[in-house]
Amino acid sequence: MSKLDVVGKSFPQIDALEKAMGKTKFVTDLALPQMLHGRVLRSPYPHAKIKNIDTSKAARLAGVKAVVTYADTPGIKYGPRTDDWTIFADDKARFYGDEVAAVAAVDEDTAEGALDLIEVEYEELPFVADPLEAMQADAPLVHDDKPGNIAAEFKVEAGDVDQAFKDSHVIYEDRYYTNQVYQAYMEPMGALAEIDKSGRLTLWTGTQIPNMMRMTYATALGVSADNIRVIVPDYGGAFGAKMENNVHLVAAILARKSGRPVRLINTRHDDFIAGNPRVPMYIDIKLGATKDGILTGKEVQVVGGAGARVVYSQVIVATACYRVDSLYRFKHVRSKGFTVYTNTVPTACFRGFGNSQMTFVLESALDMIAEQLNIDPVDLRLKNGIGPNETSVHGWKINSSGLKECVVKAAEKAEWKTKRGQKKPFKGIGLSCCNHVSGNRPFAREFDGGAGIVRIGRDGRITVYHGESDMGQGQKTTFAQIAAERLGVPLEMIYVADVDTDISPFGLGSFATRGTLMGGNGVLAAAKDAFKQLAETAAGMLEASAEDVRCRKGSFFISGSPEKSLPFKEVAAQATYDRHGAPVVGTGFYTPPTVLPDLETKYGNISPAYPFACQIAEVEIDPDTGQVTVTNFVGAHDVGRAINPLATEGQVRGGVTQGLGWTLMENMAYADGKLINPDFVDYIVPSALDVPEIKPILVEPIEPNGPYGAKGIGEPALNPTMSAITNAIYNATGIRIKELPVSPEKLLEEINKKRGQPTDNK
Amino acid sequence: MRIQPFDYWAAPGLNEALNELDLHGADATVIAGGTDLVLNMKKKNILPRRVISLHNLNELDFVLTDESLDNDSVRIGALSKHADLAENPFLKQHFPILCEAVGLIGSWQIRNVGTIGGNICNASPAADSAPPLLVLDAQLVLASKKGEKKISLESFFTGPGATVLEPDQILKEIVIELPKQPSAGCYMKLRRRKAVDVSLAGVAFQAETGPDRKTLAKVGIALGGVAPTPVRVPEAEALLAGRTLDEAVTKISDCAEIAAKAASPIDDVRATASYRRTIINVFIQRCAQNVLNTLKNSGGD
Ligand SMILES: Cc1cc2nc3c(=O)[nH]c(=O)nc-3n(C[C@H](O)[C@H](O)[C@H](O)COP(=O)(O)OP(=O)(O)OC[C@H]3O[C@@H](n4cnc5c(N)ncnc54)[C@H](O)[C@@H]3O)c2cc1C
Repeated sequence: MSKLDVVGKSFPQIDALEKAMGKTKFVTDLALPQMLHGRVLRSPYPHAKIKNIDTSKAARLAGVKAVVTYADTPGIKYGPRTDDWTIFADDKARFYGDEVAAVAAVDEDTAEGALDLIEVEYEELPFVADPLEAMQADAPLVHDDKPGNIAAEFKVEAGDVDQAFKDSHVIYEDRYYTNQVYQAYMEPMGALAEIDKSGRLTLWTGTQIPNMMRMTYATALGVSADNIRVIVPDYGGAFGAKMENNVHLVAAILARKSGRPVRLINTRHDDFIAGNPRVPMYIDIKLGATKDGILTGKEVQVVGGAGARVVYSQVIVATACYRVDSLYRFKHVRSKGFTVYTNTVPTACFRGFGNSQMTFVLESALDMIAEQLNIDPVDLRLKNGIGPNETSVHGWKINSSGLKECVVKAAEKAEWKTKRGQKKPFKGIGLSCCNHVSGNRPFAREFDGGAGIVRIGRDGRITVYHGESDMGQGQKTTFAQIAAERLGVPLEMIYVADVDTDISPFGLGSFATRGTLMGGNGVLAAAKDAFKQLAETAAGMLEASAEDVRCRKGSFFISGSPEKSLPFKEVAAQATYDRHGAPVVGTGFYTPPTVLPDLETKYGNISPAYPFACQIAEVEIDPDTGQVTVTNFVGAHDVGRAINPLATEGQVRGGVTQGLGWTLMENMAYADGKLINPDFVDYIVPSALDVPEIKPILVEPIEPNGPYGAKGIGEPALNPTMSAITNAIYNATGIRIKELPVSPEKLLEEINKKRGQPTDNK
Repeated sequence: MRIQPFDYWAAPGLNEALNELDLHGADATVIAGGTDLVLNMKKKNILPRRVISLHNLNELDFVLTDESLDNDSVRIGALSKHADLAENPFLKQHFPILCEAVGLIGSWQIRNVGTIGGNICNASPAADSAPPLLVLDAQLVLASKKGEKKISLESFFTGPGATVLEPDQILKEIVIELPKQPSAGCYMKLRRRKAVDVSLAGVAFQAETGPDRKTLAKVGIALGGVAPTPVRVPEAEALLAGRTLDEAVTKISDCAEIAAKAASPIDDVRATASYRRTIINVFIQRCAQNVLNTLKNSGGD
């Protein structure tokens, strides 16, 4: 590859200044003439029959323009994956926070006041909150037609696991639990909904999946997908949560009934109780290894709590079941997964998508194996880690793998050998690896690539259209860099449009760490097409053949003679005149060389590229309080190529911080089926003082399938963090954390138990 | 969570504020930094019809040694901000325990607007300034149109969020006597993260030697967040008071035990009662150790 001008360089995000100045208009800032304000009345019970709803008093309140319930909806059962959703609770409310009714009024105060006037007669029902309890024979049923509360089952088996265990020198077996945590994005979920004269709905909403959402919502509303337009303005974060959620449809129903635009944004409280937090999981693991530390067999059982309806939990449980199998050279693996209904908020995607839960468990187990075998955890990973050009047990084709380089570089930077060797009381160091994907072939069965449009007008203004979603992670900047590089212009010349399903490509969206690779390749293809068209115009102007035309830093020239050049704008103007006013429009798409996994064996190749990482944490534990402080953190990440090193390192820092919060403090706490910490006073996320200096290391093996060699970073930034910290806690105390988050109280209990014992292994 | 409509008036001075309270006290609430009040209004715990702002009362934003009465006390205006108090050189010299405690409140943003008067009048059992002020035997000057009244902080709190303050009264200032002999203090709070967290349990330990500089003349121990109000623990104090520094060291763990027993913490989403009790014990030991060491180094020649 020739020298790069824009890609591989650090730029602040192209919209950073606007955001820092408070000029960005987020969903919450949008307004339309005549707009009403919506609020949702939510179930105060985890499980209750709805015997009657009287909305008459609320409807009479001055300023109230619409009050709606299930009766105002088409009554269609729908869902992104399973048709177990209704817009509003039908005959019963299934979780604390379930939508029961909603109001649209002239202002927020009136809407809030009206909620108190809606009279709902409930009959409380027995509820079940824990997924294991929900599987028991006498458990209350969340959905009457789902026996055993089983929402989905998943199985995968490869090789001969039983024989592998027989051939093992050591076997480790235990049960782990990962809890329900909230994504804590800055802007709560919500939408602005408007319905035009023809009945066509426009939704302005912060969503990761504008196009897929539109299809789900079309079903829910009983209209065709082309009757819904989704526009994605700037929005305040998502971390996986912002996929389908009833709050958007409630806004639509309110707009339909009132005949006016309705903006409905969750209060933080509502967002806590009715967002889509992480799938909690019970995970049983059995892991074997030979004397030399070669992993033999792995068996897991995952029980994941879906909450009251399936958003994407069954895909997340499936991911937990088998994604890690392609991190190491496993040959014999068996997994079983159960996705189980419970009377809690529906759970869904959160950075890591099940792989983070299982990575925590597997990497904990690996350290236990390493200890049994008296092998350095670093060596155990190096011995088993999957390398470049290998095929994993499930058929995944690993092109580039910087896994081992990540381990070696992280260990070096963290001074692993020295620190592990000179152990001090209640201080410890631990590491963890992870793999991930850059797109997930089976997530949408129709296709999994990406597309782009590059429009260049008379003035040389370049607009990139994509169909993914920038939630603040910097996708616009990444796409702009890719387009700028390919077109040969400075970054400032690129404008990236908000996604509008009427205009943008039909992109699948931002999830599965796919944006940079899939969307980036789509934008790259479109830029290539646009360049080709401009090159033809420039060839005419420069009197050369189009193949010899180059553009760099905004000037067209003939290859080999850069002294004679034409400004980009002049060429763009000429191209527009040649087309009698039509802009140059480049389109393109990317077809990833993936293989849809076989439904039975799951053998396939789910992603064109697999990122890897190794993170190392150092901790200090207060032996009298059980409190853990993370004192140092190194994160080495194989990102293929960092399109924007600054942004990539930002992802690492953010992922580690989020993982640290999950490990040490974050937890959605329930009592009597009700969330008891639905605010940032008691749902604690890390403050700046809780986070040590995080030292990112970017490993760049250049991925052949990536745009300019890039793979994804979003999710792997967090996947290894939990076990890096808990492995460090183990190193410091000999206490194995098997449940997240680490409770200082429980850790203290364990420390005291150990102190009571006369001698210890360490 | 919207704030209900209310009338707002910013008092230009103390007298105007007191006049206004005299007329409308029952319907009105005063606001200082608003870092507690606004949240309570949002949650609809308080629905005042009238909010009287003390924001412009610069006359209540001060730290002074009291020249007029005697030179033995310091007066802290109720409108003093935590950020200023945490860095005040005079307080740092004489009452480092108070500076430490208010320096642990919330975040920079909160400390820049939150006032010590608001922290006390809000009467949270977990208010961080309360345990240090209790062990310093702080007095409160309450003012109304009718006049001023001085009461001890210990008699001020009556329950969670409840005080003896009358609707026409405001807290004007806090008065603390200066120690006559070497003194030292220490405050520790249990929290779930290293900043911006309410205290799940707070421990204040203050001691002053006698003229011999070897005997503990005064010992103050107070707890926050583990009872309906911040509380002193006289039985734990009594165990150490009157002892030499060396003797006291040997009694620290007994003292901590007594204090932990005296606490009546609750189980909630933040921590269990038993963990809070354990932490009280640990923190008293750490605070006491720290204070006795300081006194030994400063006085024991
Ligand atoms: C994010 C956050 C973190 C926080 N962290 C902490 C913490 O770590 N520790 C802690 O102790 N607190 C904490 N607080 C609570 C709060 O910041 C403090 O209690 C602060 O000192 C309150 O002062 P204020 O001036 O803002 O009071 P305001 O909110 O203005 O008033 C509080 C109450 O006192 C009354 N009042 C105020 N001044 C007077 C007066 N002079 N006379 C009579 N009545 C008066 C008001 O009417 C009101 O009822 C936190 C708050 C937030 C929002």
